[in-house]
Amino acid sequence: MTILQISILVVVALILGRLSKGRQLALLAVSAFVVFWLQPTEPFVSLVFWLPVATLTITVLTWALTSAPETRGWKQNWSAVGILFGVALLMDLNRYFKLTQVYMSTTPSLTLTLIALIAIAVATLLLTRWQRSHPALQILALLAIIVIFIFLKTPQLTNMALAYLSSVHEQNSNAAGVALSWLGFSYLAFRLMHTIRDRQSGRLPAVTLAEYVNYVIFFPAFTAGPIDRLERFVKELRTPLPLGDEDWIDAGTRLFVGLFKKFVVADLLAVISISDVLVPQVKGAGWMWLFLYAYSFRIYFDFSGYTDVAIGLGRLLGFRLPENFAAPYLKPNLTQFWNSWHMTLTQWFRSYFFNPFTRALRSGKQLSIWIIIFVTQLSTMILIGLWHGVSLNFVLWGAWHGVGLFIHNRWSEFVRNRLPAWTQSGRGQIAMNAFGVFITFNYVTLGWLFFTLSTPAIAWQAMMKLFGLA
Amino acid sequence: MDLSGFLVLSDMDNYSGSAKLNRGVKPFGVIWKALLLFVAFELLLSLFPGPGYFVFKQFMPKLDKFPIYVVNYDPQSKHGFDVQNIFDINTLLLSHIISSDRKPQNQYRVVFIGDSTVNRGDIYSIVDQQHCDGKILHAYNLGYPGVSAIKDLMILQEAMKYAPDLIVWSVTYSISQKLEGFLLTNSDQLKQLINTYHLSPADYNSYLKPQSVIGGSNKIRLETYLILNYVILNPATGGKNSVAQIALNDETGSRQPLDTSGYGGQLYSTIQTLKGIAKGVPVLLIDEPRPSFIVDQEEDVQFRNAILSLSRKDQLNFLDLWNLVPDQGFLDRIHRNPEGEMLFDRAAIPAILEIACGQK
Repeated sequence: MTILQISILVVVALILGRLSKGRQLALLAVSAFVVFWLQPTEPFVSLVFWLPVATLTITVLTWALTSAPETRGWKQNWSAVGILFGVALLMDLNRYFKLTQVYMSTTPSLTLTLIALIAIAVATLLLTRWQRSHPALQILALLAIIVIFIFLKTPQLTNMALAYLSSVHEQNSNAAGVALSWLGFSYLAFRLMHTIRDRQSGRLPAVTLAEYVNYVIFFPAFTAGPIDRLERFVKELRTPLPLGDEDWIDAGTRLFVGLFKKFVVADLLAVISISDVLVPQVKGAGWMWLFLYAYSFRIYFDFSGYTDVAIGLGRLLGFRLPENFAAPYLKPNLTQFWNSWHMTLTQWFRSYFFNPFTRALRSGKQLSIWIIIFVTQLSTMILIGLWHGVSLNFVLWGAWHGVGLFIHNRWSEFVRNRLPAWTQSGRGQIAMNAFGVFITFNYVTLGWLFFTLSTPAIAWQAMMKLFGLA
Repeated sequence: MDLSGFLVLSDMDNYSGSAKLNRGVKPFGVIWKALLLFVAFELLLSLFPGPGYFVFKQFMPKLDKFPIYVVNYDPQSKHGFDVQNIFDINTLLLSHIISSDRKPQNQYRVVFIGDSTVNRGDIYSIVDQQHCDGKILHAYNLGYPGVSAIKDLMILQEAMKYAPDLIVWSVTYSISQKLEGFLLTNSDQLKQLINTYHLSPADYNSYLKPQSVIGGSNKIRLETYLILNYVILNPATGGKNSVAQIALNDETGSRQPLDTSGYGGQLYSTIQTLKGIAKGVPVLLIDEPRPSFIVDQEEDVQFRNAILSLSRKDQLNFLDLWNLVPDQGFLDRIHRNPEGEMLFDRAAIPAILEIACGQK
């Protein structure tokens, strides 16, 4: 998002947050509009319209699959249907309004859009009828979301699809080299999967269509999190938190700090952050470390800046979104780092993968403790890596952290009751803490090589240069 | 068994970001004060020297060519880098070695003005330190990319402060380029030129916009980018700022013609302005070599004839090298490869030395 877009959203949040009536529906309309507005340009312009439509479609269909019977009535949901229908139509009608500063004017034909929307409405209606007797549909939905996710995150697959579209549309085949960007799908997928799983386990609260869609596409957190939970979110949706003077100041402070972190600090550091372009050209280990540290701080300020903006915007709307960062680079070990970095993501993985997987391993064969720990930690971190992108680099990044967590776990066990007495003194603890922070920060920083550089070969070249071996 | 070694259970609702504030703080009061502070800050910064002041005045050694580009972050571009032109003439000259060299008695200064062929070329380094008639030649490359007479005249106007003894201006009849950014950034210098030499203001009105007072933070931003580029990126990559080159290779922006700013249009007023700026300092106009495959052959001939006629009449030195370099000596329609450069240098240097050494 640009500063201008964020500024506009701040003004919108200020207005919406003051509404006493119609707040839910107004928020729904704005969030739906933002899904279209912020969709990046694509090599095929029609995708700029159809991807947001797909976002809303998947969300509505997932609600239909997971909704409680008492919330499926037409009376409760007609307004949300109308708003979503209306926003999609309005965006399509920009072909006549031609407000190109807001949205593209080369939208699909109205007839095609109407047919698509009606088809979606019919599918939703059918799902709300069948869902009761076909819980397998929920499993299918989970798998479908995972498949779409893998498709979007695997460059080879998206390139194939774009090349195919290129040939069908008789467009320049160079368009196939451009990445497909479905705004917010990574986070969308997690929110949808969370609701499906909670429905399966009977923990999902009963929510109307408006409440559900508001949760999934909540505009402050749509593109970059934090990943909230439906049960927590819907409480504040129904009863917004009051906004006193101090809350205004607090929200404003978070917004200002977030904007400063992202658009001043992070963007300046980006110029000297390690990259594919810089690695072959950098001369000397010292410079290489500088560029790597610059990246380490850049990714923190960039991401935490966006989180601050999201939390600030949420506060103006009467929501208290969960925190995502808690000074992660000041943590003395990798375990605490991962409890402080992108916290909502790790909590999601804990709830929906780590814990169930651990329970399954414990209840199964008699594996030794350390094997269970190793397998669960490594697999969780690799999955977190793959969430960022399906490539060997992200697997290596995940494995780097998985192995690091395991080593820390075993080391903690080993040194328990073995540490010398001086480490228990005040100064000793400070020294141990400082040493731990140093080691952890550098371990995480080295791991960023796999995260940011495009191939293992370049990451390896950078590693060699860092230690003066190239 | 501690399986929570990976993730400890944490309270999802762990928001603790509320600032500890004094009661009675009014939000709109804070907003107004913040806005006032911002405006005051911008006004204060606008009084400071232009961008590059601290970098090139305090930190950096001077450069032998203008720093044309600065690399900055652009998430939309292919490599994540974008190049931003440095247009401010004061910054350009502040960064250049010409602004730091004091001129001793026996120094003969030759300034080279022109577009990217001059900026990229090496003729100045060959002319530099040559001796003739008891004088030592010091050559300064003041080329800046862009085929634009008005741009060259603006640079020359400022360069005259450094007392050149010979002006070598490489000109070419080519599709002129719109240097809107350059003209807008230096509208003070443009206005001075128009007023002093009675140029047609109608041609340049759109560039004579009042300078924005609220722009101080842009100076800080550009200053910071300059520091990052010249203090970190350049030395780290062996001094060539090759990152900028890679970003430039991705540049696909089109350049639009601006006829009135080129050498082809308004040639008479261009020459008169040149004479006015030079104030008796000898000028060597070099009509640059061009490949045979460029279009506008007839207009090219007319241009050469016109400039020849004007230079004779106004007693300017004119060296016509338009057909000196064969087509295989060019990289594109303007720029020469090393072989082409060698041919050019061999032809131009004797002419330069003849004028320089012929001076009493």
